Amino acid sequence: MKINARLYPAIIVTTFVLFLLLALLLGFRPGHGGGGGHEVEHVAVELASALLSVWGRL
Amino acid sequence: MAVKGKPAPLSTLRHRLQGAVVFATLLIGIRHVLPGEGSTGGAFDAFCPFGGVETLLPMILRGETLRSTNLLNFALLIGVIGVSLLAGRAFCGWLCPLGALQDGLAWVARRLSGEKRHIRGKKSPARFPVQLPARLDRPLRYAKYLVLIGIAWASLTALYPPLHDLCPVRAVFSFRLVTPLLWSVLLTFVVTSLLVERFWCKYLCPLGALLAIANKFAPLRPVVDPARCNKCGRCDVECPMGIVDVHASTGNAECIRCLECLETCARQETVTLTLGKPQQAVLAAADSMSGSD
Repeated sequence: MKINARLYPAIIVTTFVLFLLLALLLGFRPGHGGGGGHEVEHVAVELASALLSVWGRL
Repeated sequence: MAVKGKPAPLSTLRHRLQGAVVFATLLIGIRHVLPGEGSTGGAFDAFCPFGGVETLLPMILRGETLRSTNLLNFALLIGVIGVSLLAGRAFCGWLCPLGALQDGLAWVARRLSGEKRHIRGKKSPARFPVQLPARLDRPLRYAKYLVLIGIAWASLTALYPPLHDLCPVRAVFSFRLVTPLLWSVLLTFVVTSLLVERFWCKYLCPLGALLAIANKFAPLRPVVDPARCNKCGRCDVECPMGIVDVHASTGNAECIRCLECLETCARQETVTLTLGKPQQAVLAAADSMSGSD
């Protein structure tokens, strides 16, 4: 399917913003004053347990 | 009644977008040298999508990010990967502040070395930037993949992102040139960009190496109609990545989807932006081109 090339910048910017928002909604949010910390560990544990539960169902 | 003006060329839209990205990155850099560290959303490194790659393995294995990075790196990386899944290395061509700077430096080099006016599709009389000879260019293009592997390996034992003291984005935009090494990175980046167009993207950028994989399957891409293409080579002249025979290699891993080829082509509807099964479109184009030789 041919796409109007003039829409290309809008398409890539929209895609970037949508995926960025999706990531922020999933909990990948900036910490204050630097990196590391408990929230990172917390999300990592949640992600790992979610993956393991999906694996378990398979 | 208002008269509708001629729409801006695609390259102008690209340069405007690149200008906006550079401006936004400069603002982030300025914000981080101002007082009030607590409200900056993390260190300057936290605003880099490649920081997400650098801190990925430590996060999986140790459950924590490297120092000076945080979860925002992953959010930005996911944004960049989203673009890549749809349009390959479009981030490099349209949204990367470093790519934008290199395009600007290449323009400066052309102006300083003899080009008075740029004529699209015509070989520039300027002496710089140059294309490296093929025997040097081809092997050097693989260096960025080695850089990517090296950084992933180094991140396993690192406290800070491995590229922390060598990152040209930090050198250009962070306004904290605190080490002689960062000064030399800045100088090297400027000089190489003046001498060779998109030197960093072609040979060293680890994020570009990662996104290059998506070029093979991303569905939104420029496709050449072999029945219309007369292989005049105008697109080769304009390609900032120095791809040889652009008309036969729009699925090339080096292509940054800047669409300069589409804008340069003098024959209407020969290079088009296409959404669909990329393999079939490109293979069909390649088959009919080899058949016409």
